[in-house]
Amino acid sequence: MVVLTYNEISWLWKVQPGLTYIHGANLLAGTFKYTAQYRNLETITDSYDLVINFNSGGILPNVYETKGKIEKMAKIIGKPLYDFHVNSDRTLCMIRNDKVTSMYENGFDLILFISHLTTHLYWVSYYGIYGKEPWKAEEHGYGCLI
Amino acid sequence: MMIKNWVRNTSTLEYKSYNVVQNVISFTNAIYSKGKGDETYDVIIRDFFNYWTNLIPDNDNRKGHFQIALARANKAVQYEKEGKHIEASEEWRKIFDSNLFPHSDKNEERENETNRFSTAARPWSF
Repeated sequence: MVVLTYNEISWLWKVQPGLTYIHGANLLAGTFKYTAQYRNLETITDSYDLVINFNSGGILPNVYETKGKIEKMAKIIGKPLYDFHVNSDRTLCMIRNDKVTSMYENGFDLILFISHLTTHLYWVSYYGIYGKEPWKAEEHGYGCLI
Repeated sequence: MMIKNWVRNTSTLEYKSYNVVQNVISFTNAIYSKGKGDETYDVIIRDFFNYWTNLIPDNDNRKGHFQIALARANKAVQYEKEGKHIEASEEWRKIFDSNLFPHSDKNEERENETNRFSTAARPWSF
């Protein structure tokens, strides 16, 4: 099970001050903000209210968007929620499960994870705003663990 | 009122007042049925244009006008999030009557460190 260290929590407080680590529950909760740009596409500044639960049993935590923002985006552009890579259990599906270990080859890494989450949420925002993928997502299919 | 202002400000757009009202009502019922929550009004206006851009058929001559308004609203929303109020107001003034929509005269200093990336994991779902 992943448990954040004091140094990781201190670092996180600097880069994502809207997120609070709840020790007893071993999760992060709050607002995740980012400004990002993929290649020469549009820069996007956005925020999501998240719960990031480290008691997932896997390398990566389970990430939930808690205010229905992604669901609203799906309704606006008339797409099903799974096109935004939200699983039926409401977890965000950030990567194919068979690719997790190659991306996180040394196990969970908070800095890498925050970067991964930023790029993932950029993808979600871009798809909701512009109605097209900024880069190709995986085909839908069974087996994603996060 | 704002959407009617857009229609009045877009001379070649044929969009009956009754239909504007109907479309605003159906949009808010579909997307903001529980109220605006903590969403800002600029985003709600952008969402309106986005919603109808995706619903209006390609052969409807309003489609192009919605697409142009959406592109400008997207820019305005992003500028606003970056604290660039001057640039945001300029985009809104292209959509709405510039005699009525105020022009901001000051930007805000914000530390927006942009994460630029060229490779990323591909999202998935089952």
